[in-house]
Amino acid sequence: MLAAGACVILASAFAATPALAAGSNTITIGVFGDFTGSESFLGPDLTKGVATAVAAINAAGGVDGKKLTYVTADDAGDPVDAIPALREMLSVDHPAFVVGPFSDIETAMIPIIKESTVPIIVQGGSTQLDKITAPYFWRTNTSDDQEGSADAFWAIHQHWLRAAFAYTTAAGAATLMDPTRAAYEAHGGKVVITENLVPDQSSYRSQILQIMAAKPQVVFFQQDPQTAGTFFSEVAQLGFDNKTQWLGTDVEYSSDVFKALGPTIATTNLQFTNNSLESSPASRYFSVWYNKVNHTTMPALAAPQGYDAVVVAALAMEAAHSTQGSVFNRYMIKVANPPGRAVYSFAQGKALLAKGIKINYSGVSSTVDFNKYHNVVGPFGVYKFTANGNMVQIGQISSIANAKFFTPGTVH
Amino acid sequence: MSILMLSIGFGLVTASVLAIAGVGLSLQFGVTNFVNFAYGDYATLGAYIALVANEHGLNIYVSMLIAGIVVAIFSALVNRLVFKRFIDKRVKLVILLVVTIGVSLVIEYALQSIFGAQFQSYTITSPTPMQIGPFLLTTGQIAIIGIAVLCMVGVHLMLSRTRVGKAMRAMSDNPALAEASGIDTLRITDLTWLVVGFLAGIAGVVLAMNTSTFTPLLGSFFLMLLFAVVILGGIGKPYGAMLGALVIGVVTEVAGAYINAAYQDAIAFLIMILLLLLRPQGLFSSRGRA
Repeated sequence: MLAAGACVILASAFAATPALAAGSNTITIGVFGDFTGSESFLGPDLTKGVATAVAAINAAGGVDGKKLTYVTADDAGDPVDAIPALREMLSVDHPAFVVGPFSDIETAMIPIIKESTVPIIVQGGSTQLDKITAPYFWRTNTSDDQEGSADAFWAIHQHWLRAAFAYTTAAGAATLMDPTRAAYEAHGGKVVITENLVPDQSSYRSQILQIMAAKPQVVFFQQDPQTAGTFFSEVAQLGFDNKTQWLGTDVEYSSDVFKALGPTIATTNLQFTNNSLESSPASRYFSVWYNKVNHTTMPALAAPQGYDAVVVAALAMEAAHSTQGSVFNRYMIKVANPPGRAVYSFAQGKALLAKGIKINYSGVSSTVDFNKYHNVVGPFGVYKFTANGNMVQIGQISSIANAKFFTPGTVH
Repeated sequence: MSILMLSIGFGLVTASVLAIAGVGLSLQFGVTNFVNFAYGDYATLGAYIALVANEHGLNIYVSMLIAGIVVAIFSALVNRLVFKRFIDKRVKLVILLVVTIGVSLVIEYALQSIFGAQFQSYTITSPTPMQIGPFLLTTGQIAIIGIAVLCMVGVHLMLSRTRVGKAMRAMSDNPALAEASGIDTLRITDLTWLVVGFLAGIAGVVLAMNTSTFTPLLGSFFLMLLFAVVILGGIGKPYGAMLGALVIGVVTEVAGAYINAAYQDAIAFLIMILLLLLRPQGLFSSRGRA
């Protein structure tokens, strides 16, 4: 029995993530995501964005003279583990704010989010959070209904009117299907086949055959990198049809997916939509710091959104001259939304705030303009991989165009 | 090309992967009489050992062999250092099962600590699809089927033609009688774990080749399907596991082609339940073993 307990304890020790000690001159940020479990790439990817922001902010002198630091907590992709993990982080580490979680957990966290007095900047796209009324809830990732609309918009404007769906059954993908279908079919598209893929299976060949037999012009998909690696290697084995376009989402906008697909498959007819502003000065600033911290210019999934979350919160603390959530929380909209002088980095924002100038932070993942429910809206870029694993933007969908395309009634 | 025939061909590949792993699991249960929930993680360990060898320039098949040998030794050591201590104390079965779950977690998190959670893949030539009769298979998939056939032939020869194999079968049928007949059950158990570990290591590499990318969770995703294979074939019956793998492998692929793919695994278990209702002892009969 003792040895059995020792085995479990030893296993837990391996699973623990390192916490950075917070002193009186530091502000602690909580990073809450999947560090173990089937989506265990999400937590480290989000942390890369947070770490980038922390480095850039500390280099600019920190917030109110204090340096930022961060701690991580693992939700294990399971609400049963997530709820105690978040409570422990809040009570032990006392973060000024929390970045995360993702779609697989966020709906289960709604009660905690509603009772929270610490800003929680969620990173998933579940439509159930589109109209949540919780003062400390924020989201720097777009809702799935916007993502779905953007995908449908791009497909329709490319005249791909015959589509297949190849989404996984994971929570994040499942909530994306309905708004995509609604927007697509409302504007003349037809979904000829839907294949629901169980993530992380060893084979999808039969499903691929069915998809190819339906002869779609475009295949909408959202798959985690593991599933995408298996799926697309089998698509290549079965003969990649150059007439069929494959349109993915923000999940595929990641170095993890490129690695999983390999350069040969990644550079064929694969495109992805993602809420980001490649042309923004914020993106250039982000890329420099991301490369310094993570030694690559290719952002990991959710890194831009995590980065923006930290920058906005830091600017709000700077503007409020307080790290207390109850004080700086109401400054989040003040620093992120117009009117105000556009700023694209924490350093710029801090300098203007010091002069008493109202700012409007515009970020990497979006303009970070929060609506009354503390959600952000597009725009969306459309991307392809290059042979060396970078992304190149091939199209842009403005927030206004996407909003016109959005079909109401698909929000659950 | 008929979708049905293509699906059957893919099913043979899935069956091959399941057979290598399922035979090992069934063999281990037959001799030791407890389920090892860490078995999937043994396979994952094999996949990562092959990754290290492959990254050092070794051919994937040589790497596979190394993985099999290393996991074989690891498997035997875990039995000696962990499982045997509980068995000797005659602990309740549920405690032993929890111990295997603990071993599973240790392996999984150790691999994650060492290699990280990111996706890995082997350096192998992009497979070329080939039309073989009604089937469309790549060179890699044909190799997987070939490896499975080799493993099954090897297990068959061991069980039918060697003293060790016959001793394993005797222990599987009646351990007390086997011991009373002079069989060194401790040595046979050790050898069983070696063979089981070897098969698990090979299975892990083959599974990783089949999925193209893998993480420390590779084997744990596969474990439930393996249990279906073993139970369907008759618990503790390696030949039954071979047949169970064929049934489950082909059924899941064909089902995925004609029914909503989300229900693929559910259909595999439904088939298992229906067959067990008709033949509760499994496809191959098993006397008196739980």
